[in-house]
Amino acid sequence: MEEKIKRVYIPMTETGFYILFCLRSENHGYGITRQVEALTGGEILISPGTMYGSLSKMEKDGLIQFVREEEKRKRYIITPLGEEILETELRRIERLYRNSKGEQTHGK
Amino acid sequence: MENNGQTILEEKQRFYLSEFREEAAWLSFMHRQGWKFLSTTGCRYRFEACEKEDWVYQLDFKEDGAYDEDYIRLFADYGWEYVYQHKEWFYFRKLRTPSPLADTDSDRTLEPDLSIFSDNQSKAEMCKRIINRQFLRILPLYFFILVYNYLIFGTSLLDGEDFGSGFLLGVSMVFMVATLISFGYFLGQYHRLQKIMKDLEPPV
Repeated sequence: MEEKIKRVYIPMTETGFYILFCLRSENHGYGITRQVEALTGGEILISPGTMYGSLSKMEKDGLIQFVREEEKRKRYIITPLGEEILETELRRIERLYRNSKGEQTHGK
Repeated sequence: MENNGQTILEEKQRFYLSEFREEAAWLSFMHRQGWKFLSTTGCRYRFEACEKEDWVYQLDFKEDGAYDEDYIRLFADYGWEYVYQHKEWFYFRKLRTPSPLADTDSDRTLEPDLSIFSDNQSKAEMCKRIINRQFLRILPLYFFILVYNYLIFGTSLLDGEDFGSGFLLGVSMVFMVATLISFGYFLGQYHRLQKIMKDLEPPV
């Protein structure tokens, strides 16, 4: 089951990546959008329908977990499975970046 | 029609499952004409007289059809006013405030926060939710018809030549025609939603 989830999540969408990345610390939907906006200099603005769909799906698949509700806002945090997927995705993005700069990947 | 001193307008309008974008555009159009959307039954829409303002309407399809406070709160955080729920459909609206950088209409429609979906994947996901839900909805009907027709044709219920069996046969025919029509409708909508999804896919 976990293997299948890892396969379908990688490569991640830009939205998915930023949401998971931000949830290394606890946050709620709109808070994540503001954090991503700040991180990307306003280039990436995640809308509520997209945010709700992504959070529901990631929670269902066990990448993130519900922590508590505060002022009717659901707060989430990443799970060990989510961290593992994020780690794999980060390695992939780093490879893309190195290759795009003309470096070859060594090892494995 | 007068209602508590407010003017109410009722309009008949039919949108197919796959026409949620057209429906949203029509509601925006009505608001610009001074009619604010109140509620719908799926084919009748109620409006209330209001200022002629440029509001953007958006529909979200929530698969479980449940009104959740955190869901409404999330949209409110982004400035989307919740208007109405009809089955799995949630209606939201937001006042369009022209960006100082955008001069033309085409520029304005490009403003990213005027859609409740910010990427193509999540737009396609909503189409998938509509298809899944619709499929599950018609499934029991087909099952019922299958069993019914089995009982009529596959058993000895029709052996006698009396009124009862003629009646059962008639009902079976009506069911079959109804099934064909609803299945045709489902296929048509399925095809249109697939087309929307295909247009959202990356070209390579």
